[in-house]
Amino acid sequence: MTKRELIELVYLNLSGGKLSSDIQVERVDLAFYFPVAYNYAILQDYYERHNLARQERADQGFTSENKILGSLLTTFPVVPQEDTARGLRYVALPASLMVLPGNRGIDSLFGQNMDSMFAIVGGPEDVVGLTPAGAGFAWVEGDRLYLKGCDCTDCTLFLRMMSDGGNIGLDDTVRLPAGREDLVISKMMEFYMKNRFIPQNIVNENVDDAQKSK
Amino acid sequence: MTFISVDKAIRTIMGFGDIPQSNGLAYARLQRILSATVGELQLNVAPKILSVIATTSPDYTLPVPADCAKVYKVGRLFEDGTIRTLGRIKTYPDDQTSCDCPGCSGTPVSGQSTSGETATVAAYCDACIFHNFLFSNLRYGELYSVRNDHFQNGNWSYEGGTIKLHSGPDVGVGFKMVIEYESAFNEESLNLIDFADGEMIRNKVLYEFFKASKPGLAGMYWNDFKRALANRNRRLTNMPNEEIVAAITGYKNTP
Repeated sequence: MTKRELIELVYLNLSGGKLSSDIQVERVDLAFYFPVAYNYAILQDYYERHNLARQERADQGFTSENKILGSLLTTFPVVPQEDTARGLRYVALPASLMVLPGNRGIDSLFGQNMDSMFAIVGGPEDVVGLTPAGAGFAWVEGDRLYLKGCDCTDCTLFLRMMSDGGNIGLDDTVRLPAGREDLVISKMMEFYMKNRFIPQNIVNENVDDAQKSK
Repeated sequence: MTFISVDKAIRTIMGFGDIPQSNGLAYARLQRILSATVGELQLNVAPKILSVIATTSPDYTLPVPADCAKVYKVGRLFEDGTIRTLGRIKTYPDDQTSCDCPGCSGTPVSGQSTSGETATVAAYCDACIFHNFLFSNLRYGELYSVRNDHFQNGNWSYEGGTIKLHSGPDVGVGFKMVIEYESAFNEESLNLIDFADGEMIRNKVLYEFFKASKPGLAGMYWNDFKRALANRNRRLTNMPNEEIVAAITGYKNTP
């Protein structure tokens, strides 16, 4: 389902099942709120999967549940750059990051040799005094992912991450776990329902279209 | 001896302890525990001498590792895993020995090697062994390279903290080179871990990792650690002398 289709569904529902010019909410307003509803749905799913994983681990000592569904992750090629002021290399995040508990928004960072991956940590304080053993360590600061142990600047790395809902274009497919589309629609309905009958002030008379037509 | 890297050791421990591989914080904590454990069990003597692969830069120099205290050997690495050592240009006084590699007698010794391509060469020097560097399990933990007495393939010198390469067919921009050096930091010299100690280290690390959060589980890891320790002690008593010497000094002359 694309973002446009989702918005159209909500729009249809808000106008009582029949498209009408009488509704005070416009499609562009729905598009603005879409990332909020999308991120909320992903977070709910994250907690549910997390609890399921905890339960499985308690019962069986092992879990098959991933904290994040693989189909929600996107892999971007990125090139490390030098931060000369700090003497560190970093990669610029190619899309705005979905900020999830425990740095779960960044899944992995690796080169063409997938047997050696960066360990994603909370910050430089977590790895102070540690010499990188594998590919190195990485942590997020703003829109950058800083690297400790990366030796190259002209190489290509691959960043597997979860994008924020704001990155989804109007005609992009909205990838959501099964059943979560409904949560997105409900959140958008919930937010705009109260705006539906707000009078619009077209000129300075504080009258809406319905009053003017009389 | 077979070695595994610290990275692989940590990943293996995460697998045994059912710690998700994506948990970077657990990875960092495990590395700290592993570093302390290996140090406390005094298993970190051998890896004090390390080897790294470096690429020759356009000005014919090699980057020296940050923890390098002393460079021992430099050689060119070929794609089939063989290494050809370069000669060292003297940057030290004449009254010192020409080779400061530990255990080097300065004279070639009759060689035994597991490497097929070097079998026809009559003489080897123990200074031509790269420590702790392994390409496949066909070799014996250390790679042997052919000593070229005249070093017509190239030379190197260690000046001002930089390795400079001098003319020869094995000197070229972009060539992969192996540097053998002595690391300045004991704790951080854990590039490779003796595979035979893996079980003992793994159980000790998992015991320390889960000691506070899951005491019952940690107790089981402690029992396994004690058993692995006993096995190791039993194994050590049956170990040939040269293996014990190699475990202490980090190198051995015969495979």
